[in-house]
Amino acid sequence: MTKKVSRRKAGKGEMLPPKRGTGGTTKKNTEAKTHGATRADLELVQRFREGDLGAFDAIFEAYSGPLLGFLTRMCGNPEDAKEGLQDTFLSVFRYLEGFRGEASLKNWIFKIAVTACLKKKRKMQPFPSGEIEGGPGGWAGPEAFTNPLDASRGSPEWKLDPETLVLDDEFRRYIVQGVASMPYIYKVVINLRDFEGFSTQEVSRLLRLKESTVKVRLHRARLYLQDWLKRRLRVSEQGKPGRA
Amino acid sequence: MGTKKDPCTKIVQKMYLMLEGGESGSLCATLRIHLEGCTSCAEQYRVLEDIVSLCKRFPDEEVSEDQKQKIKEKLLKSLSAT
Ligand SMILES: [Zn+2]
Repeated sequence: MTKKVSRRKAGKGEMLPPKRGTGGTTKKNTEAKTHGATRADLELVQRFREGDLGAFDAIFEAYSGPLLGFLTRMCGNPEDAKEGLQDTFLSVFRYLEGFRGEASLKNWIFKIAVTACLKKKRKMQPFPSGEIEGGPGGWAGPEAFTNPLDASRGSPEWKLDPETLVLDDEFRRYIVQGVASMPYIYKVVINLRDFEGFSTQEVSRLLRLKESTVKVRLHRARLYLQDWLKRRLRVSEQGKPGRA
Repeated sequence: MGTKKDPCTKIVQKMYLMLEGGESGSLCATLRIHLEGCTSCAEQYRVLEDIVSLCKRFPDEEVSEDQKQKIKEKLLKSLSAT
């Protein structure tokens, strides 16, 4: 039996370009070029419009994990991320009526999450809005990379095994801190592109940036993250990360 | 204008073209040739590949059943009130 959920009059649903996937659980879909919602997206939204609580649950279940990951890396602390998750879902369910299917449900939902982050960011301390000028440990941005293998960057200890490291709780915390510490314009790009698997084209539409800008910011964000990790980690010969 | 950059810095700044994949322009060819002859840039490129791989493998955040329940209740309450 389906319960009814009351629905508010829809706001203006801003649609974005898309990708595949229904429940949005398909992360790491890096270069999908399709546009618009899938049939499954549309069916799910239709069920929600008809007041089917099962659709509400399905959307919540499919997106709560990815959204909490995204928001944690944006906010840097679990409490703000949880608050952001609630705000995001509240907007999602309030405005789902206005979902026109011009973008996939995943893109539409993440656009809302990005907006929630922006609102939060404005309330908090002003983030640098320009290019990266300072970073962890006084890092001066990619322009400072005069020599990619300068001894001070600790390259000899850099032995990453992504498959192993990603299983390590402490290492994951470092990554989250590293991403969260970036200026907004960089972390939002790396978060969507590399962590959430949106294509460059999707990120550019989602953030209303030129694709070339997305690529440059993404690259800088990756270099920043690399620098952050190198400063904080020493990967032992056993591959077990530890504090520098 | 600007300060003169050494060739390796310029290469590092353009590495994203190769990381994007599917790029086959002459700039990519130049990058590849440089990487073949420069161990430091080749190492830097490998590290960036690892960073990308790490991000792509990064798991979603776990939302506990308890948290889910609390959020859903709040959402349903807010939605019913509007
Ligand atoms: Zn070089």
